[in-house]
Amino acid sequence: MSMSHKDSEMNEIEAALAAWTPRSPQIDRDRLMFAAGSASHSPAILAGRSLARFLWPVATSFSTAAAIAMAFLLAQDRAGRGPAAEGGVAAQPIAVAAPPVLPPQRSGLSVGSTPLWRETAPLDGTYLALRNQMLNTPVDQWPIPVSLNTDVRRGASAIEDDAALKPSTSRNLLRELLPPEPPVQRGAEPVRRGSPDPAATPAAHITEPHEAIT
Amino acid sequence: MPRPDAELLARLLDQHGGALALYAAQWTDAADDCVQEALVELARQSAEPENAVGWLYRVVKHRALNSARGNSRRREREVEAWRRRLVREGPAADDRTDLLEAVERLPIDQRELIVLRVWGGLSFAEIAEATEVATSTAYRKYQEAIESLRQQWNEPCPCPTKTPK
Repeated sequence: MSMSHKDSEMNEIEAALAAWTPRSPQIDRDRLMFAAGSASHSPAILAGRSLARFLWPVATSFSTAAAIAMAFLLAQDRAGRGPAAEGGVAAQPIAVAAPPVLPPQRSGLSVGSTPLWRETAPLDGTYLALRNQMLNTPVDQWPIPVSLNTDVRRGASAIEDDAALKPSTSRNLLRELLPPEPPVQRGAEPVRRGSPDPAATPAAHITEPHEAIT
Repeated sequence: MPRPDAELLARLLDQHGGALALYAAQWTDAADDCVQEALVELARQSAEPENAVGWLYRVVKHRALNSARGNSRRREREVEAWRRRLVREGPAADDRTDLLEAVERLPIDQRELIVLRVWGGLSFAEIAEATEVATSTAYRKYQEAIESLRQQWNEPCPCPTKTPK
């Protein structure tokens, strides 16, 4: 049997069956529509609709609030770390000239007759150069900087000068403290400079032993 | 998808009400109630199903099966009720009741395909949705049902011929 014949026979069977038609159901249309309307407004359906209606706004509000809270916490955390940790302008490295590369020096301050300090001392005086030099030199061989040496020497000489200026005797001390005496005229009351009232100044008491000594 | 409205329900009832009741009558004698419950169930949906016709036939089938569950004595009445739901249109000379009886003798899974395709006017995609099988499977089973009908239709009548004495 060919395919077309089979199809035609199938169509013939379908056409024969389609000669019958199903009877309409015994359904009250108004009752059906009332029941459908009641079902569509049942509390479960309304609850589902209200949930669908408020789901997105609630989710959006929640995510927005969470984002704001996280941003606030992040700002607080950065403020607690300080401006250096923020990575902003304050944390940008300051342009510093590269320190001179020093040869490794294990010890010794001088090479030959020239002190190493003078050789390796950076002319620009950067901190890194000074640090490298200090790290490459043992502590006991650290040189005394020129400025510090000068200050120490100046202090020592000042002490020596003070010792030299110190009066060795009481007389010298008195001479140093008291003004020089004017020439004494005979018969006249000795005139004392300073306070006119001899009782008001303790120098009046001192004059007596001074004169006694002289 | 929009929600099912009264217009959709009325249209489905007008176009598929008879076929839906015929489809449900294969399993239960309360076919009209099944159709009405299925339409109410459709109105309860928050969105219209993508394949509303197939969805409706599937729900009607489930309702009919639930209605007929546990009562096997209804089987004879159901077949009789199913047949009463079909009315003949056209001249009485073309009455092919033998073909209708052949449909009644088909297995239920093949007969429901005949109902869906011939009297429901469903496409094979809608048939697949209603019977919860693949479209190709629905098409293959339908061809098998038609072939079975053709064989029954062409075979000689088993009635004994009267021989003259």
